[in-house]
Amino acid sequence: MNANSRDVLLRRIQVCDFVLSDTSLYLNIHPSDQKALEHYRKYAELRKNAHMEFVENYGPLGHEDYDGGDRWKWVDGPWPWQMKED
Amino acid sequence: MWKYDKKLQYPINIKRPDPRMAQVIMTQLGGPDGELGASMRYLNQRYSCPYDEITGTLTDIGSEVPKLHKDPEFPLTMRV
Repeated sequence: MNANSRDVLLRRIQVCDFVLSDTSLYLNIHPSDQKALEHYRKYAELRKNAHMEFVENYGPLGHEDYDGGDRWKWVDGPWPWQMKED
Repeated sequence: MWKYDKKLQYPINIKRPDPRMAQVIMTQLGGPDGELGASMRYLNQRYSCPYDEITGTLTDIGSEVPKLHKDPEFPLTMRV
């Protein structure tokens, strides 16, 4: 198991989300642009892996990340405004 | 951060278009004393909330109305 820190994984997810949302705006008006689609796939995959590793190690980012265990960890802190970012 | 899914939250079938009712709903949703204003208050109150359970709940109920606004249901009500 490689141990990426919480900060590193969260930043990776943030970067991917920005790329995905920006690319999606471009794709809205160029729905068949293969280069753009490849770009989207690449970052969707990166995001998926970062998200999986984050949730496994640091808890859910959303309801849908419930781990099936005996606690609803969604209510457990820290909340985004309680984290210190560098 | 809001996420949008391309589906209705609840099935809707307007049989009798009613412009006056649509006005009332729009005002209740986005008006000066409407749901959207209430949702922003929830999202602001959570910053000073001392209990994590309540912080989570304020986040969830504060997110409901903005999500509703992005729901196809909403413009459909106005499509009179």
